[in-house]
Amino acid sequence: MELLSNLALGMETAFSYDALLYCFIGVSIGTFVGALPGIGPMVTISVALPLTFGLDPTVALIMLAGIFYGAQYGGSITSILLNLPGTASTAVTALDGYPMTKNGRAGLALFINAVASFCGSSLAVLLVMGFAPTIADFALGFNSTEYFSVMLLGLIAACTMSNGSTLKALVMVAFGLVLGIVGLDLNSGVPRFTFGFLGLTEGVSLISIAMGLFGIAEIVTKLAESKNGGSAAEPKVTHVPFRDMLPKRDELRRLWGPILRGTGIGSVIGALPGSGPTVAAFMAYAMEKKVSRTPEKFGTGALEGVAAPEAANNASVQAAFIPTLSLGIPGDVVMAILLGAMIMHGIIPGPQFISAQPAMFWGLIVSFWIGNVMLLILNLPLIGLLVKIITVPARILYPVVIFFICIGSYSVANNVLDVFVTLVFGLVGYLLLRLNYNAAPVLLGFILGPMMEENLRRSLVISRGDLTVFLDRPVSVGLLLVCLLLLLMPLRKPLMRYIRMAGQR
Amino acid sequence: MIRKNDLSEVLFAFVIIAFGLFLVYSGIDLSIGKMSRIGPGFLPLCLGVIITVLGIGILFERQEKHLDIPPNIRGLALITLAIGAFAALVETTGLFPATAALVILTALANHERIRPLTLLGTIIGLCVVGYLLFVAALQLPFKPISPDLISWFTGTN
Repeated sequence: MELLSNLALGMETAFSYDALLYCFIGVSIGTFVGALPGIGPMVTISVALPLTFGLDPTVALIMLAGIFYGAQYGGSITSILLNLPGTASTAVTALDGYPMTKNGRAGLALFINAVASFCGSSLAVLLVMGFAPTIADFALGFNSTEYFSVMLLGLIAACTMSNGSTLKALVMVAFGLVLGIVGLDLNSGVPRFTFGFLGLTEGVSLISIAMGLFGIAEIVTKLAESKNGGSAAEPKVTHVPFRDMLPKRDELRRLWGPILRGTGIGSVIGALPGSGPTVAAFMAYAMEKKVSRTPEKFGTGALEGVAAPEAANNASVQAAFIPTLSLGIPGDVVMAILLGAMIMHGIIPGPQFISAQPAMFWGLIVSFWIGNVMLLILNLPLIGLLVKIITVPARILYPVVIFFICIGSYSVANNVLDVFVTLVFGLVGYLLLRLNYNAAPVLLGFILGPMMEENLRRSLVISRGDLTVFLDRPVSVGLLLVCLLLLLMPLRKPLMRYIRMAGQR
Repeated sequence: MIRKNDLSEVLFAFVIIAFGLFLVYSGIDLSIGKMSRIGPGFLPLCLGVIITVLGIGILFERQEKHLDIPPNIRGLALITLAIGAFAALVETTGLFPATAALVILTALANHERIRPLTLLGTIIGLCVVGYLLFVAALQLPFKPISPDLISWFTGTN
C-alpha cells in the first residue's frame, strides 16, 4: 500500500537522531513560551528561524512546527492553574479549568487537558494525512490562472473571516503584498521600493516584519499593562500528585463526546483560512454548552468545558497544515511564517511540495505524532517547573525578548539595516494595534505576493493580455465567485436594512 | 461631535489614501508595461488603486469601540532607543556594550522597578548566551568588545 510505504518513509525521517532531538527541543521551547504570557509561538518561531539556517530543512521544519503545537499545551497549563492564558487560544480553557483548580481538582483538569489535546491533535493529523496529498494531487493540474485564483481566495477568506473590519483587513493584506514587492524585480531587474538601500534589494526579511509587527508592538503594549498593576498571580498549586489526575470511570465516559466534537470543529476551522485555534476553541465551548444537559455547570468547573476547547484548539493547529502543505497557502500568521521558513530553506511550497519532497512531508507528519507523545509525557511531570517559569518577572523577560528580536533580525543577513527595519515595523505595528488594525493579514500578503505576481504575469503572457483568461476554466471561475461572495458578505446587513427601509416607505 | 479616537482614525485613513496614491505614482514611474507583458510597475499600480479605494471606504466606515488604555509613548520611545542603540553599537563597539545598552534601556521602559543586581545579572546572562549561541555556534561576525573601544579607554592607540 502506498500509504504504508509513505509512512515508513516518514518514520525513517522522523526517527532519525537529529529529527528526534530537534522535535524534542521544539516542543519543549513551545511548551515553555506557551506558558509565558507575553510571548506567543509566533514571535518564538521568528526568533528561532535564523537559528535553524544551519540545519537540514526537514529537521528545521520539524522543530519550528513543534514550537507551534507545543505552545498550545503550555498555554493551557497556565490557563488552568493561574487563570492566565499564556496563549490567546487557551483563554477559553480558563473558563472551566480555573474553577476546577479552585475546587481542588487541578490534577484532573490537567489530565483532561493533556488527553484532549493529544486526541485532538492525533485525529487531526490523520486528516492531514488523508486530505493534504489528495488536495495537492488535484491542485497539481492547476495552471497559472487557477493558482492565482486560489491564492486570491486564500487572502480574501483570511480577511473576511477574521473578526473586525473587513476593509481594514483588506488594506493590511494589500500592504503585505506591497511589502512582498520590495526588492529587485526578477523579470526586469529594476529595484522596487528599495529607497536606495542596498540591503533592501533582496527584499524585506520576513523575520523583520514578523518580529516588528508582533513582537515589538506586543511588548510595548504589555509594558503599559504591567504599569497598571497586572503582575502575575501567585500560583496556588505547584505540585500535582499523579493519582489526583486520574478521572473516575463515569467522568472518563463523559469526556469522549466533547473531545470528538471539539476535534471535529477544530479540524474544520483550522483547515479554513482566516480563523485559527482561538476561534475554534470558542466555538467548541459554545457548542458543548448548547448540547450539554447541564449547561448551568459551565463556568463552574465542567469537565466538558476543558475537554472540548482543548481538543478543538489542538486539532485546528494541526489541520492548519492542510492548506499550507497541500497548496502553499497559509491560513494564519504562524503558517505564513512556517511557509517563509520553507522558502528560506530553499523549498518551494505549493501543490508539488508533497510529491517533490515526500520524505519531508511524511517526516513532518510522523514528527507531529512523536511530538504529541513527547508533550503528553513531558507535560505531566514538568508542571511544577512550568509554574515557576511563568512567574519570571516581566522586568527580566522583556529585555531578553527584545535582545533576541534584535540579534535574530541581524542574523538573517548579518546586516544592521535589518535591525532598523524591524524597529520601523515595530513602530508601525504599535500604531496599527492602537488603531484597531489587525496586522496578521500583512504576513499572508507578504508571503503570497511574489507568487501571485508571477502567476498573474504568466497568465497574461499566455492569454496575450486578455483578462478574461481568468474566466476560461471552471475551477478559476468558481474560486473567483467565492471571492466575490466573501467580499459582498459584510454588505449583507446594511443592504437588508436598506431594503426594509425602502419597503416601509 | 468628533471624539479624539475618531480623529486619529480619520487621519490614518488619509495616510492610507496617500500611501495608495504614492503607489499609483511609483507604479507609473516604474513602467506598467503592456497587458500581455506587464512591467514592474503593474502590480504596484493595481495595489495603489485598491488601497486608495479601501482608504476612502475606511473614511466612511463606522468605527468600532476602542481600547481605553492610553498610548504608551514612554515605553515606545525607550524601546525604540534600546533597539536603535543595539543596532548602532553592535558592530562599532561590540556585542557586550550593545547588549548592556539594550537591557538598561528596556528596563527603563518598564515601570516596574528593577534592582541593580538583577539588571547586572540579566546583562551578564544575555552577554554569555549571546556570545555562545550567536558568535561561537552561529558565527555571527561580532566582537565581544571591539578592540577600538578598549584602546580608546586605555588611551593607547
